[in-house]
Amino acid sequence: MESVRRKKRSQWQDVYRRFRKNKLAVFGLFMLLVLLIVAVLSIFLVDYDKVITQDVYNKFAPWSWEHPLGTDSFGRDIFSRLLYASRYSITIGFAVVTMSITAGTIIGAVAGYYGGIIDNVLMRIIDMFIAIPVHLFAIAVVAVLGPGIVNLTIAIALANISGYARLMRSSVLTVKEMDYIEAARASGASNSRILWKHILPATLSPMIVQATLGIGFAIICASALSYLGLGIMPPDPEWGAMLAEGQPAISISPNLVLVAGFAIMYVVLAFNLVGDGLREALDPKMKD
Amino acid sequence: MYRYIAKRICMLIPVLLGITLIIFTIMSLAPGEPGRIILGERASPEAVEELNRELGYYDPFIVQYLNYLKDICTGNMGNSYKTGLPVIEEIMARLPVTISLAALAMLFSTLMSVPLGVLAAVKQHSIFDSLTMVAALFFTAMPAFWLGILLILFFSIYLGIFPVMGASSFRHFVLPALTLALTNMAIDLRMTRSSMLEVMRQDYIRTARAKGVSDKVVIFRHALKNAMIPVITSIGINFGYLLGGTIVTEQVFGMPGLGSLLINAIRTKDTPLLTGTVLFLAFMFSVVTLIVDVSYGFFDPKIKAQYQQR
Repeated sequence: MESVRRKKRSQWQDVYRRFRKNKLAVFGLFMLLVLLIVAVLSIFLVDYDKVITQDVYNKFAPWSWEHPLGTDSFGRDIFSRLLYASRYSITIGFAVVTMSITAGTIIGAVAGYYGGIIDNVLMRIIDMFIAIPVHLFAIAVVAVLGPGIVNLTIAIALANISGYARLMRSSVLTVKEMDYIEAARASGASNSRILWKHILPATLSPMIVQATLGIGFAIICASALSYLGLGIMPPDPEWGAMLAEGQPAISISPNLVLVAGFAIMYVVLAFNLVGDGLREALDPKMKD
Repeated sequence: MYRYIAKRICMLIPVLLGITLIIFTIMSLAPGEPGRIILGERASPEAVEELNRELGYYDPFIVQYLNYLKDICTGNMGNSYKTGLPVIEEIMARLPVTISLAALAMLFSTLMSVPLGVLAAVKQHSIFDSLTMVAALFFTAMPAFWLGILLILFFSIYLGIFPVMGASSFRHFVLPALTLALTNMAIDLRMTRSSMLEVMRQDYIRTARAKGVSDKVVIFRHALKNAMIPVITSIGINFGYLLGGTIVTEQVFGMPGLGSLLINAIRTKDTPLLTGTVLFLAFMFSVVTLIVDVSYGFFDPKIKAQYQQR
C-alpha cells in the first residue's frame, strides 16, 4: 500500500517536500506571511488621519508610546506611515508581475510555438526592448505618463515584459519538440489547444521562479522611482518616498531613513528567498 | 574573428534604430506643446503656435521621427527647452561623472566578487561559503539609495572620512561607487562561484590533482582561466546595470552626472533633453553589451574556433 501511494505522489508534492527542506526558503515564506498579516491588519488598524496629520510642533520626536518610531519632518507618526505603506509595495509588486507575465507569456508562447516570420518579428521587437535598461525604460514611461501609483505600475510592468517573453519563448521551444506534443497533434488537437493546454503547463516552473524574483525587483524599482519623486505622490506614504523625505535630516533624526529602508529590504529579501527556494525545489538539477 | 566582430556590429544597427523608435514614440506622447514649455505660461497663443511650427510639432509623427533620426546621425540631439544649449553638449558635460562612477563601481565589484566567489567555491559548504552567499542575498535586497544613505550616515556623518555630496574629487566617488558595487556584486559573485564549482568538477582538474599538483596551482593555473569566461560576460553585463544604477546613486550623493540631468529634465518637462539623455544611456548600454559579446569571442575558444575554420 505504501509503495503504491508513493508512486502516486504528484510533481507538486515533490516540489513542496524539497521546498520544505530548504531552511532559508521556509524562513522567507515566514517573512512573507508576517508581511501579509501586517499589511492586512494595517487596513483595519491604521487610521489614514494618523498617516497624514501633521504636527509641526512635534517634528523629529524620538520614540514614545504615542509614536513608537518617532515622528518625521512634518511631525507625522512614522510607525503608522510605515505600516500603511506596506499595501502599496505589495500591490505594486503583484500588479506589475501579473501584468508583465501575462503579456510576456502570450508574446513568448506565440513566438515560440508558431516560429517562422511571427517569431522573427516578435523577437526582434522584444530585442529592442531588452536593449533598454529596465530602470531607464520605467523612468522614461513615468516621465511621460506623470507620477502616481497606477502610472508607476504600468511603467514598471511595460519595462519587464520583454524578459518574460524571452524566457517563455525559450521554454516553449524546448517543450514543443517533446513526444507528447507530437502525440497530441496526432490525435487531432488544434494549435491553440496544444499551446495553452499542453505546452503552457510544462513551462510553468521557470515562469513561477522568475515571477517570484520579479516581485522583489518590481518593489525595489517602484521604491527607487518614488525616491526620485516619480512614484507615489505625497502626502501618501511610500517607503522610497519616505526615505527621500528623511534624507536631508539624517544627522538629526536617522530613524525614518533606517526603518523605511529596512522595510524595503525586508520585503525584497523575503521574495528573493522564496524565489531562490522555488528555483531549487522546482528544478533540483539547477542547484550548482 | 573579424567576421564575428563585423557580424555583431551589424546586428547592433537595427537594435539602435529600434531603441530610438521606442524612445521617440514614448516621448512624443508627452503632454504639453514645446512652444508653451519654452515661452512659458504668459506667452501669446500666436507666438506659441509659431514656435511649434518651427520645431516641427505639427508634422506627422513619421516625419518628426525621420528628422530626429537624421539629426542624431550628425550628432545633433536638438536644443534644451530650458537652457537653449545643444543637448549633446549638456550630456558630454555630465558624462565624465557617470562614466567614472560606473567604472569605479565595476572595479570595486570585480575586486570583491571574483576573489570571494573563488574562495566560496573552493571552500564549498564551509561557513565562509554560506556567509558570503547570505551577504550577497542581503546586498541584492538592499535598495541602492538606502545603502548609500547608510554609508553616508556611517562614513561621512559619524566617522567624517568621506564627503557627503558632490563629485569634485576622487574621495567623492568612493562611497557612491561602493554603494553601486555592493548592491550589484551578487550577480558576479554567484556567477564566479558556480562557474568555479563547475570547472572544479571537470576531469582535467582531477587529472591535475592526481599528478600531485598543489591546490594553489590547480586553482590559479588550471581552474581559474576557464572559470573566468562566463564571469567576464557577467561583469560586462553588470556594467550595463551599473550604468542604469548610477541614476539613483547620483541622486543620493548629489552628483552632477547623467542621472541627475535626466531627473532635472523630467522635472522641467524638457523633452529634448530627456529624450537625448535616455537615448544616450540606452546606446551606451547596447555598446557595452556589444563589447562584452565581442570580447567573449576572444576569450571563449569555442567561438574563436567556429570562426577560424572558415
